[in-house]
Amino acid sequence: MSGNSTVVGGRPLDEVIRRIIADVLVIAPDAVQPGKALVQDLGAESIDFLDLVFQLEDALGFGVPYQRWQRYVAANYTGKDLAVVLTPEVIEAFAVEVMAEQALAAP
Amino acid sequence: MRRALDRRVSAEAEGAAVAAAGLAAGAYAVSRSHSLGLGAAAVAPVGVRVGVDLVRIDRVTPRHAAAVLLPAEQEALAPEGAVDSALGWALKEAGAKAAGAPERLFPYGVIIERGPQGLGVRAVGRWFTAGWLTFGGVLCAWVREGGMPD
Repeated sequence: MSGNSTVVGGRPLDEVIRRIIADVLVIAPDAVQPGKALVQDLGAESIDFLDLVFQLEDALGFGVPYQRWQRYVAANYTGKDLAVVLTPEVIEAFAVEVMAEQALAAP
Repeated sequence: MRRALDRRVSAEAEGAAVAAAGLAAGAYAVSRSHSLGLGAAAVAPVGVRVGVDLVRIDRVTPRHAAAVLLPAEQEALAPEGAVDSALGWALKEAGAKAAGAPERLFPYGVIIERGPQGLGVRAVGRWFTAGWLTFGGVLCAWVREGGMPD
């Protein structure tokens, strides 16, 4: 999706994110395309975002508190229509950010 | 397509709620929710804050509950048995909507408490009485400003 080279569990991060979104929303991975709004286009509900965080946590192998996702959304998307702006790229950017934090925090 | 269906069922629920409450068209407070092609609406006279949420009961697992409910809230909800997790989720969502800032207040800006009259929620310094019902594996919870504490 982003073309970056981040790898998780031997797979490109964008592919991991696409699979997670497809699993949570119970849709085909091919339906998860760049720019697709998770709510408006793919039918995500609020509880699905908690599941996205859980699955991200499982994929990355470290804890990602739900509040961290909320802070990320508040910092970047306050005042915007979340039904439209939250796309796979946003989830991927969030994953990159928490991975960077985790790397910095690691001893 | 799904969004269109959600909008339609929510609007239908709102119309039914307004008619049932005998409120004048265009002069009421409203909160709407939708899930799985079902819609719900809570209405009240202008100036009274209300919130509503619909959730499939089996969709809210103990892991979800642990992520959004404080230990004291889990304790307050425990008497509700099998629906405690779904009810906790839905009351938080309904409370956050009623308080006017769902994205900012859900989940920790809304606190669920059990008082002498039953469950209620507290948010933005206000108290809300709570109600809920279940049907076909779905739970609908609502809150209305007022009530608590005693």
